[in-house]
Amino acid sequence: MKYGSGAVTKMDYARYTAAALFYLANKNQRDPAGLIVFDDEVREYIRPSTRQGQLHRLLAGLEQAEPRARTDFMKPLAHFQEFLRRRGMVLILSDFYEDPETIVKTIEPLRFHGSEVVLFHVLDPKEIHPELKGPSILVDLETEQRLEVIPEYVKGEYRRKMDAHLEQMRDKTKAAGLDYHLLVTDKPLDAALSEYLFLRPGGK
Amino acid sequence: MGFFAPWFLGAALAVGLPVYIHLLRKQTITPRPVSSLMFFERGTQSSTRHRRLRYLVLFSLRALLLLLLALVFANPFLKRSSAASDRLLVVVVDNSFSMRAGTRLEEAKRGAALVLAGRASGQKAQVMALGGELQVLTQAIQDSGALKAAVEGIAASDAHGNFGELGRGMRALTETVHTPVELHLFSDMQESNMPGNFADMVMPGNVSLMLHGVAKAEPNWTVESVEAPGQLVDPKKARVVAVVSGRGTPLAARMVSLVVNGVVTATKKAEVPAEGRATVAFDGLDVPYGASRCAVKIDSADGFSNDDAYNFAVKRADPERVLFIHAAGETRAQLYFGAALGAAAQASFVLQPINAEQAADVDPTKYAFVVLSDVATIPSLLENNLVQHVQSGGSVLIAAGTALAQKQRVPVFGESVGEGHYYARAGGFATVGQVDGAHPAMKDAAGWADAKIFYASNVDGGHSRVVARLGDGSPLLVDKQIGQGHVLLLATGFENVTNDLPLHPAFVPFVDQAARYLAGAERRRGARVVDSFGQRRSATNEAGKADAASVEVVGPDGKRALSLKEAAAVQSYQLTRAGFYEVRFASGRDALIAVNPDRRESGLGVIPEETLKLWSGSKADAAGSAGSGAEVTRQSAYSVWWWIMLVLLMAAVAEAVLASRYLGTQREEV
Repeated sequence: MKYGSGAVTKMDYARYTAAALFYLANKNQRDPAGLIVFDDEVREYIRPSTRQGQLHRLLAGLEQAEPRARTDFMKPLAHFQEFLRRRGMVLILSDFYEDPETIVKTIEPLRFHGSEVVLFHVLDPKEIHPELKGPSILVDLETEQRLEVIPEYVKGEYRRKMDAHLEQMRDKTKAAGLDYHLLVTDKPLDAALSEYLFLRPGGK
Repeated sequence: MGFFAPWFLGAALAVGLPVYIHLLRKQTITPRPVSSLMFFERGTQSSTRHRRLRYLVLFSLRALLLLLLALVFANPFLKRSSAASDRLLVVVVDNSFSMRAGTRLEEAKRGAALVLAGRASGQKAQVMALGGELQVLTQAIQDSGALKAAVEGIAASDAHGNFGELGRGMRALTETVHTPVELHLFSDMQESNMPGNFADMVMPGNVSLMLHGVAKAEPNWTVESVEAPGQLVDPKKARVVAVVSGRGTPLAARMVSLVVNGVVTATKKAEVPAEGRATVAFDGLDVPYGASRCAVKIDSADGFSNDDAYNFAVKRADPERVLFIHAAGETRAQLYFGAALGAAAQASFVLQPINAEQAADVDPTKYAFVVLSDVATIPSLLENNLVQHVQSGGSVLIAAGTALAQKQRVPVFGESVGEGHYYARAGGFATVGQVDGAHPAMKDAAGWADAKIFYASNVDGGHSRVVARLGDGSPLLVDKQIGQGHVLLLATGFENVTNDLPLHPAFVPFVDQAARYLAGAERRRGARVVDSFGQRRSATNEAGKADAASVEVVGPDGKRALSLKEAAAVQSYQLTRAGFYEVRFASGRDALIAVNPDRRESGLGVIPEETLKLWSGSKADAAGSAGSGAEVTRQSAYSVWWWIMLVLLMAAVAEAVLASRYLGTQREEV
């Protein structure tokens, strides 16, 4: 989530999105809203509430959230199920660099509690259409792993794999009754959120 | 294989540049961060191999480019044996004036025909004639009949030969013909035909020069020069001075004759020393009125009779009148100018003085030229007539003395005059600082520096040729061209008040030469040398356009030397033959021009054997065997720089393509 080809990293974009949704829930609809920050562990947990100062606590939690090691959905979401006692709405913001099958299997149980689950897939445009002018060494920001890659591969095979990944994410989440939205960081945030809110059942 | 310029091979060290760029300079790659390597695969091995291969090909091409460039400058050649049929046979026959002596030209033509007849079957040949310039008579052909006819058609010219022209012609030929050239030169090998710089006659590398001398050095007497008036009034006062010279000759007495229109009028005996010159003078030149064809001849006692005569043209006419316009009461200027004009050689002019006020209806076209002697004002009718007269080719001499000091403008001359310089008032005088000796009126300018100038008008010489200047830089004598005519202005008077020039001996030759120049006699006199140019137009009009009037030139053979189209278009014509040219101008004037061969052709000395060997190189030994008809095989040096240049061009294109593909940006597939 640290990656950003432009002015805004994926992490920032996710923060802005979450902050905007918190604001809507807390100020407009007086719904209790909470936050879980995770990678391969749960790093922060703010329980849902409508108490005075909840919005500030949520925003502070977002500000302190930093991208770290590799994401592992299994452990944090299992932990999350323990906190989830009431029906509600679960919004997950991630770049979802994982097998779509695994992601859906991990997240699907949340829906069994009767909660509505929405997946915000945050990606940088350069991740969808990367450009290489020559053979390059790529460094994984999460694992520091290095790999030498040729432009021909990026122009062909990578594009096919990424398209297939997005397609699978869309299909499998739909099949599991999960709501899925792709957020590309070069798209204005208000436009992305308006599109989401407009397409929601009931229009809000 | 060898190199004409091996030092350029040192430039091959520049190949170190691509070595540094490709092998020594390390390529650095900055790692690029990505979110996840989940969808990437390693492509290291294949990309590196590909890149390394491209690097190596690019490196090889660049190194090759530099090596080839150094090789091209080193100008490599290959020694290749060539059959006679591969070589171009070029036969050059000298037809300069000296080839008229004896049977030289016939021998040369006979030798040329033999070489052509003995050439290998299928071998191409070309025939040329070397006179004043190299004349190509045939293209490179195999047709024996056409080649033989070209050799037989070569006629002796009157031009001065120059072996430098042969060298230049061969260099031009080898720029288009890359096969070996076998050059046979048939000439009398005259020493005077050598150019000033030996390098001019050196042949290119693929030309084998075979020299065929057709003459030996022999003594020759000739009339080297003749000094005679171009125009005369009194035949008794005329004097003809001829110089007879001998080259390679012993002491001998020669009979020198003066011939006028084909009739011998006088004969004198001259003692010509061994290898020396003798001067013979004839007093009196009895010629009829009009132009006469004259010559000085010596009795022919050598094998070269064509240079025993020296032509010159003389025109006899009544003295021409000179209109001298002066201010009323002023007689000094007339006295000095008239005396000088009368004392001048040949006395071809008669002064006709007239008061400025009485000269209103004078027709200036009836006079050789007009003198305005310090005249402040002249009648406007006369001024208009004079301006028109000058524009159509007439001439005016103006003396701007003190009378013009109060005037703003000099009549006819057109330029303004400022306040004059009164040097006498400052207690002194000015002297002449600079003189243009190239001007026809100042050919004998000795003595001008001694003249004292007490007053000089301040003339603006901006649009004129300043012929003489005073010590302070102000113009003293200026020549302005108006239309086709000239106005010569002296910034002081002709009398002895404003200057003491009339009292000096230099005044007489000045008046004489200025009168001849203004009367136009200067352009018509004298003898010319063959291949010199005659000027068809003497001037341009005020608008800068060339005078469109045509001229008729009749050559020594009585035929027109210029076609009608040439007569209307060309600005000059070449006098290619010895004899008399008649030139008729559109204005009605005519001239007779005597043309003589260049007297360097009279020296029949032959180039020393060592010089000839140096010129032809080692190939001189083969001259004797030439024309045997045998298929001779020789080693010839072939320059191969243009082939290397071709490879270099292809390597440059390949390098550009490869480098652009490697360095260019890659477009994303959509």
